[in-house]
Amino acid sequence: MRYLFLDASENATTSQYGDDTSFFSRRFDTDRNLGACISKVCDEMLTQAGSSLDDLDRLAICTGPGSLTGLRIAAAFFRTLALIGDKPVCGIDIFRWSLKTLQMQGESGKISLVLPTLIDKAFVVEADIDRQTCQSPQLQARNTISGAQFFAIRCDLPGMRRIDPSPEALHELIQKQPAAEEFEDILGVLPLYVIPSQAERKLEEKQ
Amino acid sequence: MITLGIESSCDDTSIALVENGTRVISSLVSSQIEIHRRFGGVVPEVASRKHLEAILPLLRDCLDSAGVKFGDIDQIAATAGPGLLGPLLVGLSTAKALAWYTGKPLIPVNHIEAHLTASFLTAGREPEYPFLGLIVSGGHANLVLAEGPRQYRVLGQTLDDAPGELFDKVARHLQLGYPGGPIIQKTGENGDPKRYQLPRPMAGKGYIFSFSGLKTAVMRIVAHEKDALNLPDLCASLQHAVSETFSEKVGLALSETGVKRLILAGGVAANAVLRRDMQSLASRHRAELLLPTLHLCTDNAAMIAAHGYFTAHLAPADSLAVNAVASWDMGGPYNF
Repeated sequence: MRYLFLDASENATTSQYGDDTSFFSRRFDTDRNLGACISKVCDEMLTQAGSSLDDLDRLAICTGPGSLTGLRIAAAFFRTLALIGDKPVCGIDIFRWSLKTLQMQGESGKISLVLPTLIDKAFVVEADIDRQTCQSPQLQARNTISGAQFFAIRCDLPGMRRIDPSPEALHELIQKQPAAEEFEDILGVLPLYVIPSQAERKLEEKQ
Repeated sequence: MITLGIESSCDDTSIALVENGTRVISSLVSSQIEIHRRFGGVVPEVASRKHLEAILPLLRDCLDSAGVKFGDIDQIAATAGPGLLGPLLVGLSTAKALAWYTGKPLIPVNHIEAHLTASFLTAGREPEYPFLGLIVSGGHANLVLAEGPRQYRVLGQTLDDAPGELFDKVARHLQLGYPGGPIIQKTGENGDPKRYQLPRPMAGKGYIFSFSGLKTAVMRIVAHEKDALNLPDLCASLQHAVSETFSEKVGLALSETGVKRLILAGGVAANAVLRRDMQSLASRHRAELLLPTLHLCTDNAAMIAAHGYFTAHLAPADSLAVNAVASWDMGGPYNF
């Protein structure tokens, strides 16, 4: 299965191409400019792979959490490609990606994954490495989180171990995870874990 | 030639198909107005989210309703600015995916310029130059002299609030609801426009507009009149003040430039008082007035497709690298 993946959850964009036998991953310094260079990123990846969009069997995007602007650009672009190119598309969320990475690194048992979001808050997800299951993320104050069972995703936080989601784990996830093929299912591939805007929080407080 | 238009600069997602820049084949708009009403204005983050949800179903419906396939489309025009960055990026990224995959040209479009093309589209005509354009909306009050495609001389603009913004703020203050423009027009329908004396901001000061003082004046009247306030009269007086302000400055521009074609554009161009007054003004100056239909006054992709068609020759060759921008002067360079 040949696929092209894009992770725009951070300031830099990561893309991965893979097929049944191999894969490669590249990081692009897109900063806040992904909107201008997303097609160039895809061009470069496909050129390096010696492939074309028509050759792909699957598209995949990171669904977050992370930079909502980046995630939306990637989602708008890849969902449209899926529609007009008649390609299945799947969403990969960072918690499941991290959990798969931990399993491939030989970790086991019940853990908590932590991903900082707002200045003083973080998403915390209780997860089971052996069963590869995640609970719904909870938004918690950062200073209330610490302990040996916590893994901080892509960052160093005091008292926690660090986990960086790996290309190998991603390769396996994309190959095994079901992808959206029907139009209605493609519409469901969206950034997850959206933090309410300030206006929404204010309105909620008022009500 | 069929141009697909994509518009997502604020709170309306819109997709349209336009033939040869002058005939609308299909034009669909998904409005977020009900979603933003509870906030009393557009929330950019919420708008971005809703654009992403709406855009593909709208694209499919637009093509299906017109019986057009992707392969039938010759070029893609999308709003690249000005507007809210998050929403713009959703529409532009969708357009880029279409252009990248199909190899069809992508034409980045300036949303404000496109509003002027809406009047020509209404008339089923190609843009003819020169013309005076008055663009009035929630974010703009611009008086421009258009000398050619993407060639504008800005004669005047607002120093503070735009007229749509003024109507929104006044409507909110009067607790009439959102958006303010249509509500103020409806409330003032049978009101006396001369009942309340409101200032004509920047009268006799060239082409400069300013509407924040008008808002303050309305608030003073509300505070002074208390229970005696006549809401229909106040709304009628406000519209009259706004319309007279524009009439004075547009009249000056028609006299000074000698141009004989006037275009009214933007969301506030739907205001009946302004449309009537501009018609009288144009008649007095023996100028032709082109008005957009009410459907084409508000944000729509048909005007984007039409403007894209007429400016395609000016678009950069590497338009896939053009970025969305919140601020983009009319006629200004494309943003990379």
